[in-house]
Amino acid sequence: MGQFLFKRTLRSAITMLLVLLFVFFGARATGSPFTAMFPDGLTPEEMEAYNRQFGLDKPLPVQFGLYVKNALQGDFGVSLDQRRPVTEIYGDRVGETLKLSVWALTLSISAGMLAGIVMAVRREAWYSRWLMRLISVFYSIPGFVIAILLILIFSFYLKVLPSKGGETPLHYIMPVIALSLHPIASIARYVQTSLLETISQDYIRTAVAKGIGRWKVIVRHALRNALIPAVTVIGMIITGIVSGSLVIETVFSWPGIGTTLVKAVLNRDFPMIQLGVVAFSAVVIFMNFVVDVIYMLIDPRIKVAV
Amino acid sequence: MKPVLTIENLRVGFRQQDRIVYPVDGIHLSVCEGETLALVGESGCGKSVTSMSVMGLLQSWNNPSRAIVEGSIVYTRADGEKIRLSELHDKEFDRIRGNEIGMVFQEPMTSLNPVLTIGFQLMEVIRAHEQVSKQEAKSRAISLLEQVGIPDAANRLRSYPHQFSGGQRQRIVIAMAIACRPRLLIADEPTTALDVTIQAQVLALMKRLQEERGVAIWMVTHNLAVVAEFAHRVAVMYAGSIVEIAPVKQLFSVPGHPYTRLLLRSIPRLDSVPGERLATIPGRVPDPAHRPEGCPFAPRCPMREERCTREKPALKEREKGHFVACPLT
Amino acid sequence: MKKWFKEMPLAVKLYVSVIAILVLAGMFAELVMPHPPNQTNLLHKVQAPFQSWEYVLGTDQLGRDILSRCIYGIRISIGMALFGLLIGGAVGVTLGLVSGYFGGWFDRMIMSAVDFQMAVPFTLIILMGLALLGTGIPTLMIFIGLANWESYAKLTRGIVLAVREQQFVEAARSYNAPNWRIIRKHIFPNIVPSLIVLLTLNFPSVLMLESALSFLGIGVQPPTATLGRMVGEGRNYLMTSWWVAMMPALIILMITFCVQFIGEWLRDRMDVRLGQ
Repeated sequence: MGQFLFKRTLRSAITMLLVLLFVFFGARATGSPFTAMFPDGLTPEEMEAYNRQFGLDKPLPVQFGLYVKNALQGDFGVSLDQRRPVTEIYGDRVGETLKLSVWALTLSISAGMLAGIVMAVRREAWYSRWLMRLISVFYSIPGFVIAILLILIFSFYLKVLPSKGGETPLHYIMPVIALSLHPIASIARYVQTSLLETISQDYIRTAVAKGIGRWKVIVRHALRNALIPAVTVIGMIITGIVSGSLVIETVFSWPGIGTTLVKAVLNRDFPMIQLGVVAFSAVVIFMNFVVDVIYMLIDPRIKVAV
Repeated sequence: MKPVLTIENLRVGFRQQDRIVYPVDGIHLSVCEGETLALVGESGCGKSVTSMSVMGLLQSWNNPSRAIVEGSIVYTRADGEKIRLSELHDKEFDRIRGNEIGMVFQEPMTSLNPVLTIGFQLMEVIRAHEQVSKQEAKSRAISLLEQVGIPDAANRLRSYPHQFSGGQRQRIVIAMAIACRPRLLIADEPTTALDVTIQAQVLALMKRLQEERGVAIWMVTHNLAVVAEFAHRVAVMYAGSIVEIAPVKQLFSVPGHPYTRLLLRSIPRLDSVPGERLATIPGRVPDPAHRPEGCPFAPRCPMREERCTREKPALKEREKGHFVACPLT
Repeated sequence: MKKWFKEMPLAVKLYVSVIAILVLAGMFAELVMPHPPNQTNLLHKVQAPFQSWEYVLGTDQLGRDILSRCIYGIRISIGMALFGLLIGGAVGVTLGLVSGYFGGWFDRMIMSAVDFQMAVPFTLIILMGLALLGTGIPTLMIFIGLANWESYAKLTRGIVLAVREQQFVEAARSYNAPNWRIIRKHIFPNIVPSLIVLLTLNFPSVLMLESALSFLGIGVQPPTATLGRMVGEGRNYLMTSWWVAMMPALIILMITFCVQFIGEWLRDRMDVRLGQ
């Protein structure tokens, strides 16, 4: 088990490093950030001064090394726009984004699984077919469209839910729903397909022949086996939710890193953009790592072999 | 001979595009207390469909398209109560399955859930039907494993199916099937997927269990050697119908139906002349969707007459306990 | 092609017709639009929809006709998505071909790129890219088209690997047929059907990506109006003039919806055919 963990951690670390590399060199590859910031142009002396101030006159590998060293100490530079440390601006906004993502993930998994089970086990029922249509609709609606629809109905017409900010539990309802619809559809479809495939297996037939009852067969035998290959899907779901939160946070003025990152992109604020991308990636990489570890623990075939 | 299971005029159909196809078309059969009835036939004759439909496995929720079952299937409990299996709902069936009737399937490698321990899977069936504590279920599971010949039973409860060989897995499946002392054990080609030596062991196990517990066994197989060794009575099936039922000795010595006769002749014999061609039955088993009118065997029967293509012959009792569905022999 | 049309179930026919109408409207926008899309008319500003035949879908704060802007927006949005898709498809397929056919170092590099792609949300990469390279339409198109490149690459690579094993390629190699000929004659026909399904299924996400970016203000810049941008601009006036944002939103919805279902139908048909 230790070896597995080590290898897995190494993989995450390498990916993280690649992200840092990409972010770093990507930013510097297209010329000086200052040309974008000062569209009227800078004199060569001003350019040089700025370069020196931000350490951009040193050779690239050195810059990168410095960057990583600083990063490990929590220093990601200073916002070009606000002149404050980047980490300070992002600060606890990360927490807010994480909260939103985790709630969305929870809702997606629960609702998605439930829908998938119903669609697989009660295929001929009328509500099952309507559910399948609903899921198809969820799958094709863009997040921001559903977001503004919800705002229109619940904030403006019915006036029951708030449309900006993230303080009270009520604030969570619409953003979480908007973030979750597409993932619910993905998960539901995946569970449905996987479950249908599983229940045609021989061991399910044996389980039914033992007379232990329909639901016990579904939960204990079918679901467990159907969900084990879900690792790949969960990874994509997490990525989707994190990407989606960029837009949803902006729509709902959510106090998370999504809004900040978008603003940074609009302002071409490179240190901010860098940390934003790195932070988002870190969240994704971390969540995937945790999921992999959980799977290692619950799949006995790996457990016993390891 | 008191019957445990009586089947009359069983038809099992499947929906195919715009019509219904009946792989099983009029089965009459009975299994009596403590005996072994063998159901023999070629691949594709419908024998597995028959056995699984009796347990309701083709009509249950886990089938993407449920089979249509017509006819009468009656199971008789120890106290004489008769239950019409053909009329049971899926949920009601659960009381019978694993409890009064147990079933063993063909593929031991895939019949057990790979991610659950065998101890769990064994205890599961016990606790589903009997009110016992976890401890008692556990000791019963250990005793069952010992009875089917799995060594070091107490420790192996925690093992997973992939840690056992094919023969051992089949024994475990048998243990699960008899765990609640059923009156009837249905075995669908239980040894087909096993090596010959292991086959013998598993069959011997089943025979011993029958002697010790008095369970009736309904074995579905295409292997006549197994039938000769093991069965008390034999039913021969062809293209969805039963063509002959007889006590085993009689079937082999005085077979009544032309199909049975040809079948027996096609088995290689120790005393045959070397180089002699193996006898085969010309033609092929008909597709259930395109069965001919009249006797299903007529197209391949050497003795066919004109009336064979018009009326389907019914099973008639020739001698005591020997039924044949052919007017010509 | 015509035979195909006849085989479609009624619903799919409906979807195809809707898409066809929208695409045609977009293509011949100049002929179809009642007003020039950017023409302001402050006398008629913020008119509700369905009130008059002149401004069927209403007008926005600057008195611009929503219907016309939507039609023009369709052209830009769908056009961009289509071109982007083709570019992404071409890149993905080429990489897949190289990866599968030549194997070795190429294969490993490309596969690591795919893994990386799956670890990092593409949206982030786009954000960075747009921040660096500006938001010109060509740049945007390439970026959004590249979304899902790995799906084409994987598909192509898989098919190439499978086909490579087969006898007739060995035979072709044996008489020294040039590589590209093998690729063209043997590999391509196998890829095309699955590729078409994949492209169709990916189209909605490409469109949604562009819409989302434009919605945020990062995508296409004013005064060019893509549907996403219109929704984004209209967001601030949601309470007073909901149609400014909702009309384009509904159109986006219609497009993704129809294409999604068309794609799924295609995929089901393909599965059936492969199964045979």
